[in-house]
Amino acid sequence: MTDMTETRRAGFFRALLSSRAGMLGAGLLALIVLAALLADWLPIANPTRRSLAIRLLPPIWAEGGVPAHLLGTDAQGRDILARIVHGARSSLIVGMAAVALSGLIGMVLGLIAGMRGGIVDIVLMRIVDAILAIPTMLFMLVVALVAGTGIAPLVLVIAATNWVNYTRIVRAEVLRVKDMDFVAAARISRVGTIPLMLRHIVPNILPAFVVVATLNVGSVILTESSLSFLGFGIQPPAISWGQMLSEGREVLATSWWVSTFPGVALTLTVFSIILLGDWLRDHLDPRLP
Amino acid sequence: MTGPVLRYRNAGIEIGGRSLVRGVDLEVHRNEIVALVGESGSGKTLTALSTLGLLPPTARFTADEAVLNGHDLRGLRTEGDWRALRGSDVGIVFQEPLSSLNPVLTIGDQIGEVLRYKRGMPRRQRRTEAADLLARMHLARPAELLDEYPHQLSGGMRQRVMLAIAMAGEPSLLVADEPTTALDNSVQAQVLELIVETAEQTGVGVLFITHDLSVVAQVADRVAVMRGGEILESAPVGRLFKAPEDDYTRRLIRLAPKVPAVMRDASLAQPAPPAPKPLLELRGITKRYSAGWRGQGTLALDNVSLMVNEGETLGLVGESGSGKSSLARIVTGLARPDSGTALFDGRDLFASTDNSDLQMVFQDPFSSLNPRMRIGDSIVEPLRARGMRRGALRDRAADLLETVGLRSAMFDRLPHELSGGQRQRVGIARALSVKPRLLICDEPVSALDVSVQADILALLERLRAEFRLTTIFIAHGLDSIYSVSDRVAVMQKGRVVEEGPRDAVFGAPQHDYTRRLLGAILDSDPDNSRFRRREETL
Repeated sequence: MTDMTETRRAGFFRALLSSRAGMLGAGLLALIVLAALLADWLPIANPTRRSLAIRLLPPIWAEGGVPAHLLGTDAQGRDILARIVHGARSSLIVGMAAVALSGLIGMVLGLIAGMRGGIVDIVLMRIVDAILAIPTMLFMLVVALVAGTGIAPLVLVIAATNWVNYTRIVRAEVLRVKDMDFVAAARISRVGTIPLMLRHIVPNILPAFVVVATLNVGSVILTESSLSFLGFGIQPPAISWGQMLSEGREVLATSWWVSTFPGVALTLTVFSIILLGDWLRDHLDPRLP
Repeated sequence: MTGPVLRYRNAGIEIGGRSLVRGVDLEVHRNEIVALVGESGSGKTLTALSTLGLLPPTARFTADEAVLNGHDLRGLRTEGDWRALRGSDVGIVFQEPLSSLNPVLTIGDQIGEVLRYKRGMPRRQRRTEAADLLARMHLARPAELLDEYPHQLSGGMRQRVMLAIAMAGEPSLLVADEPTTALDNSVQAQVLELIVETAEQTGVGVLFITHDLSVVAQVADRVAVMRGGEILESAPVGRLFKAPEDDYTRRLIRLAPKVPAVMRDASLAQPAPPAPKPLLELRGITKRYSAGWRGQGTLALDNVSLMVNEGETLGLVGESGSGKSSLARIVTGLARPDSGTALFDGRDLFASTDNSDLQMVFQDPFSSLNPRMRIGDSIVEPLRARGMRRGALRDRAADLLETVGLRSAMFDRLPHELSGGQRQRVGIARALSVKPRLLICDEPVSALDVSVQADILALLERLRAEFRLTTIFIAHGLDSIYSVSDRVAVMQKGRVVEEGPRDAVFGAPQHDYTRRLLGAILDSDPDNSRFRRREETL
């Protein structure tokens, strides 16, 4: 058994190594994750130390830039590079946690809707339709008013609407798989509902699920930034890219770097995740009969 | 016109450096039906597609000579060159009529297209000519059909329309690629008859691709047997069946279905085996599938009563839509009937929670195994559901693998690493793991190659004795169940229309529908052809 899993895992990495786009995405993402993890030990400035003496310093290559602040400083004199590196944490944490939570909710509800069918399915899917019909941002703002601010409420707010994406895809996949002969065989053998789902249904819908989840991490990070930009997300002293974008907006005309660099970081992160997700979709392409 | 319509000498096809067809010599003359017979992977379809320029773009076609109706096929490079030939020199009928007709165009449009581009007919004339073509294909009310869409037609009708489209350009060669494989048995004979008649009336040469030797015996003038990309043997149909030269041909002929002797002489009937006691008794089973909130739905099973005696094999026959699959779903507990009772060994079947009462072997070896589960785990799953301990399971799986003729080392394989026949063996092992009393076999060999079919049937026969199984053998035609059944039940439109000992049903059928199904059995003896127009000289 270990033999098989190992060869399959080796095949996975070999396939990743042979894909230029996949490698680019994985490499870039690894770099970002590593930077976020090691933020406290990297030779960068303290992200929260203000100093009005050095406010709005431009990046090092522009006139007036200093080597101590590679990407310049913001309106309160805080180092932008340090803030981006530390902000990566909250963006990544919110991205992963919100995807995990909404994926879990979506998986469970999608399984229930697909397997049970009938009235349960109809009611669940109408709720999904209703949520899809409401402007997402507006809905999230309302939930945010109730849930408050900070990382945990933010994850809840995003998951509150995001789970519908997973429910739809999981339900569609369940419907595709559940009438296949191997599921019938398991039913004839009186395999219980839970083992049936865990052994036969879930493994066969996982590839599609994983691909959707990967691509979803990118869009969730964007949502987090939007919410923080609007002031409903992560609050100071915690740092997030959306918050930095928002702060930079006020000085955009004179100091472009304050909001540009967090924007670039955000773009690169989402880009790397999408590259990886695309490659994953091609690689895992569910080969079902 | 003199000379053959199609002539290949030493033709070969390579894809990606792999030689898939080699050294093929082939000739089709006017008014002649040449059958190209082989199992999957034999190269028969590639050979046929090469006459139309429909090979995949990566394929390389080579030949010393490749002439179609006076055109050298080797010189054709562009899609435009081929387009000039298709329709007017060579036409094709594919296996699956639904996917080869355009669903958003009317029948009239699709025939008219050929008449317009291949024969330059003006619009008004196209309509009359198209209706005329449909009438020649024995389609009723051809003028109305012109304005209908493919989905409004039955499978047999679609295949007739396909033939009308293929013949609209008045080709010299007609390629028929398994044209009746996807059709119900009783429709198959009519379409075959039509192809023979078309060849006779128009003089078109037919290259008939098939895996089914009884079809060959019925329609072909000459036969070429292919295997592994080569033609093993090529001969007039009479000689090929009477004096086959190649071992493989001999094996195929031996395995081809034959009309049971009892159908010609009812006195040959074997006495029906004594029926000790019923194992499964179905009474008044009715099942309606609803169509949404308000619709009437369809009546899949209409008051079905059926009995299966201990130790016997019941052949359950019906064409698509007859309700045989619904019945199997109900007996196996996958669906609940609307009304009716089922007794299994005297107990209520629907209340049973024991998975060793009955098990099932499925038709499609690809979807019957979980693609992400190791085959050993698949096999012992029924035992696991009964609570057998993990340690004992592996040993049982090894035993079972060997019982069905597989190596026990295959435990860790995934289904996609196995051939169709091997997968079917795994499915059988899974069903037998709990030593069931009743085994339902839903067309267990119809998705397999002929020579593999024989192996699987032999395996089932051996295991039936070894495990003292009672069996329900489901099939869509009567030909495949004669050799395996003790009793036969025939289903049509949700009802059992005839039930009885096998030889009584085959020798003295009572119901019209049974007679029609019996009439659809094709004999693999060319002397008994119902369609062939002239005597074949040896």
